[in-house]
Amino acid sequence: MRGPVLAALLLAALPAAADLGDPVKGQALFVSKGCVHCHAVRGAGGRIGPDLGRTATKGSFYEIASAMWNHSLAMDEKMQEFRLMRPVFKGNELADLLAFLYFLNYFDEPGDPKAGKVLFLEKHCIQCHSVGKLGGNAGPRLDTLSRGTSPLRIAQDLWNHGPVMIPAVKRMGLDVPKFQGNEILDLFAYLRSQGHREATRDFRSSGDAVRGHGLFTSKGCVRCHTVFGRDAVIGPDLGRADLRGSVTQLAGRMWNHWPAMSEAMGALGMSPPIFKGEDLADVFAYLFVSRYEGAPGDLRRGLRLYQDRKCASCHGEAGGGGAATALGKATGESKEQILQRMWNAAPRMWARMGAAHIAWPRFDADDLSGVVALLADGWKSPPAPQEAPRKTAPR
Amino acid sequence: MSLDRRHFVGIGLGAAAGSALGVPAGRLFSEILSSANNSVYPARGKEGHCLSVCSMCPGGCGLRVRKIGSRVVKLDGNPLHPVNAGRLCPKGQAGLQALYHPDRIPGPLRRVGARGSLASFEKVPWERALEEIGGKLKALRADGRPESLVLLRRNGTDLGTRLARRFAEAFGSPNDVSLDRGDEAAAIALQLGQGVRATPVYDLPSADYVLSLGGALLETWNSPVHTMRAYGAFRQARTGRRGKLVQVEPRLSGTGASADEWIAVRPGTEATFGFGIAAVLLAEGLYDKEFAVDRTIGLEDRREAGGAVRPGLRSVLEKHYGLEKVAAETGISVNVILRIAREFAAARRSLAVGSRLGPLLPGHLSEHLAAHTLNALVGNLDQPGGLLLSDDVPLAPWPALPAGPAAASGRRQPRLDSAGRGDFPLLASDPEQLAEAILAGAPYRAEALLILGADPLLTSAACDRFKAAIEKVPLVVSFATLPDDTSLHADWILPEAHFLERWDLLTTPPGIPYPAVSLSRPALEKPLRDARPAAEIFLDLSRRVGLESAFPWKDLPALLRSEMDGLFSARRGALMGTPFDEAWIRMMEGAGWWVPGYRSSDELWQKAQETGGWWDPFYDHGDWKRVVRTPSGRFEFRADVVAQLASARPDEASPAAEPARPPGSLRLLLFEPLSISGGTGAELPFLQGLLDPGEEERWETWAELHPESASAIGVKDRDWVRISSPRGSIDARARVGHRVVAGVVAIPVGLGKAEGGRWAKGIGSNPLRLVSGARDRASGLPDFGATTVRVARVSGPKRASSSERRA
Repeated sequence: MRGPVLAALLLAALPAAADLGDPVKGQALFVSKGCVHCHAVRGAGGRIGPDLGRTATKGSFYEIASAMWNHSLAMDEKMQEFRLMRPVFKGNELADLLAFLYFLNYFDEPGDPKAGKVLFLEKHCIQCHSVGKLGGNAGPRLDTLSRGTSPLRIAQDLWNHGPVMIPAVKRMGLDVPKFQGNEILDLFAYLRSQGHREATRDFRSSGDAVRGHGLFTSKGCVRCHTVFGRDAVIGPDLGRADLRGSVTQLAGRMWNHWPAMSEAMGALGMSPPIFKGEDLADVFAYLFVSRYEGAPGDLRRGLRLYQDRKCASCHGEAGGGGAATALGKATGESKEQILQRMWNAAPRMWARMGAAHIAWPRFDADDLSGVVALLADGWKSPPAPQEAPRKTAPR
Repeated sequence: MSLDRRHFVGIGLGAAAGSALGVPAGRLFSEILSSANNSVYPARGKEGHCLSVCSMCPGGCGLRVRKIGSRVVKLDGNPLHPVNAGRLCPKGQAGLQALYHPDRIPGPLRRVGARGSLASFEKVPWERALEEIGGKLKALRADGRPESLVLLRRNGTDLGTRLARRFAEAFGSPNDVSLDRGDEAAAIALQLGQGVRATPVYDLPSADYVLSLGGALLETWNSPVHTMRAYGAFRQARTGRRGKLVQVEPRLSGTGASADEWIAVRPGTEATFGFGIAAVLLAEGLYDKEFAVDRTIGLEDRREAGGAVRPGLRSVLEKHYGLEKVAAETGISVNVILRIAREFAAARRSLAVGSRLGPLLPGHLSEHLAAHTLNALVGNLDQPGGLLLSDDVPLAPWPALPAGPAAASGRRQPRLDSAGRGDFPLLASDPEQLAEAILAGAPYRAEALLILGADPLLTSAACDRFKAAIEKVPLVVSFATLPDDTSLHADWILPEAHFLERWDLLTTPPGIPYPAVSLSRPALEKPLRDARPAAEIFLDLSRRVGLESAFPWKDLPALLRSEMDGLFSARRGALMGTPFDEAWIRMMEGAGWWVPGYRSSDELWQKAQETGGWWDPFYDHGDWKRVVRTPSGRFEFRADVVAQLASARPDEASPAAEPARPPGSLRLLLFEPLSISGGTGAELPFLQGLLDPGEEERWETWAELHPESASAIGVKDRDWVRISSPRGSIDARARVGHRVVAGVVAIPVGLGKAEGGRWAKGIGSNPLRLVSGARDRASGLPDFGATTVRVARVSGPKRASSSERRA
């Protein structure tokens, strides 16, 4: 019997504060709102726009939302060309859609077993581990996995294997294997392809982000790492963009980090954490959810952009309204609701701005979070005098 | 006579449609309109939709049922259902006519007069019917003779069929006999080569070249709509890659007409052509040598322990299937055989398909074995574009049957049909032998015969023997929606609810590569005409007979719900969805993730009713332990069976020419038009109206003749002819043309019913009454192509053909 193992369905265990949409509903919206006509997700779907599984969604909520906002005009033109209706969102729909797009990045693409086989040789795994009739017997066999084993399960086994394996590798005069890009995906794909389909599917984690938060503390990760700089750190901030990626890629980076981390933890009198059961999935779920929101919005930045991008010319100096809607209505709304109102109003905005010869406002993630923070605040918290802007011109 | 608006419009519609269908204007529609229980036009009330599953054939298409008020007004394909993705064939559309058919069985009927006429039955209440039948079955069991119960059934994956089989098993009977054998020859070929008894799945969408040895791919393949969708993908879905289809058959079928090339072999030589291609692949080294070495056995000669040499496939093909010999036998030139072989070998993903002609006509084992051999030679087993095997559906298993000495003893008794032993050990069911055993009363008497969705008096290869056999059985119960030929001879007719009237849960239809579970809700609040679902009847009977512990569910929804729980526990698959969902799930599962779209068993149950069901579109290619279960663990080229088939060829001794036959003596070639395949459909006027788009024949049986054959007996196009065999004779209208090769008379199966309602009774002829009773010696299946008939011109009935009526 073969079949995929339950991997990470995070939805059931999201912390309440994360305020995420429902990715499952978002997936249905991706089809029903017509996104799929133009966009594919890793090859599945239309080819007019970029493949959202590969390009446009690598980032936090605001990174995805800003990409979506910025492409709005080009999208409208294409949709008119193909006689498609521009999607309008209501209720919680935009939040659900964005949650779906965000979680695309959680999952890996299938690796390439052929490339994985080459890696199994090149990384010298074969010297200690056997697959089929080939390989050494110093380490455990690697063809006993279930065909449906989740990549996270393999990653967890690999991590736990570190204290034994790394000294052994060094004794043999070999380099400790490191994984770049999709290498770890390919290697896991190879191991799964050689596995037993009849094996018990024993990994049932649903990636409990709340439990993961607790593990992040109890396993001592928090003593060195933080997410978006909320605490003092020794190791890298795990909210950093260059540390993002799918969970398996994250596992690869974590593994590469093993020797340095082991030394650092030794200096602090700690041992590298060992993960049991579903621990690693839970920790990754916590990290993934924590990164959803990104860095908090900057009110001052929002106010500056509001003026620079000439929002005030229609919406009034303090959002009190004028030629266009008063923005006070947005006060107290969630960021998803504010963005949904912005999105739905975009065609009217475009018409007015075109008539007034005002350029379409483009935002990066920090810009957008600032603008949304301003709208949510409703000009109630007057920002301090402005510093020199970090970015002034639209991209 | 007053004429209100409803009747005026109805007659207008009838005139238009009736003209289009070639029947007297207005008659058809006005009969339908006047026959229904309640008014057809206009339906009143709110518009609504619900999801169901078509059971007009075993194809398992999802339905989206449109209702106005309480009336069903239209059937369309469920766009989320993976089998048909919103499409629906004419037969499925006509399911609506079956629902409102005026001649549906009105309620439980008990025979009080002579067999063979509906007039001999009286209507009785359900309670009385079930009490009497249950009482007799209970007495049989109490008497210690549970083996004398026989279940003769359709080959469905619906709940009714599954419960009926469980009922027979729990009762203690070994006699679970299927009448539908369309997939049997292919399944036996698979068993011989791979050690797995299953219906093979052909991955058309990913193939580049398909060599069909007579398979009715585009007509009555396992799941017709699914196969036609797959064919569309094979031809057009891939940029720069258009698959090529080569059809090898003596009659230009609908598939042949759509193919790139029709190779008109002599009748019965499709397998010879296939083995000839295999011989060329081996002779020219055009096979997958790596696959042959790593994954197969039996290609080369082997020396056995005693020193004897066991010939391999290569030797057998060299000996029996030399190019010249194959060319002479098939009537196809050496150049064409060589060209096809090289094309087959050169294509990136080549696929050979056997000769299944429909639910009733499985083809010969030799043709399926030839196709299977070709697929193995090019290494196209369990690969994209190759021959696949569907995985099991992970429904929660039913509780184990309670232990009981009487039932266990009954199950240990030999089957009445001798299937699986004796001369034909590969057969799973043998209905014709069942008839003989009942007649002989050996090895024991049959005391009760339950006939579910089967009409052996129409569709078996021994119609007359069954008729006699039924008279020998003290209790015969027929489950049918419409009266059929067999039910007229039963003691009881229990009306089975139409598929739009019942809860159902159908597992993967044959020919689908992925496990799928289709959930069907009743479209009507209660069945029309006092009918009941077969599943409900068997649940009821189980209590009356004392088998409650084997059927612990309080009702059908409870049963379905418990089965569906297994899907959630399996932690795989997803709800049925859009093509995007399909690609997404496939990709996720390929990477080791499971993102199903439901969080609990309850949510799965609820959402499955909104989407149509559950499925798992991920196919794990190369799972050799699952798809090859031979003792050697390898695919086995069965050179021994190939040699046996070769030596049994009638032309093996003198292959140079087609055997000489006297004028008018022709080989009978049967085929199943989609609209009446499986012996069902003729009872619906819409389907009678589109029997054969090619010849435009409707409402009558026709016989296709080559001009050469026709002129030899003085028959012209549209003459009436009498086709006779030692078993009997039928009349049909001759259609003369180049659609069939010379020496053959091709006749459709599915007409000629003695019953079936006003639109089927007495329409056309049943050519199965002509078949000789010969067996395919390798498989034991009836050899429907072995009959020689005489054809002679006769004066026909005074009834104009459809085209004449139009003229």
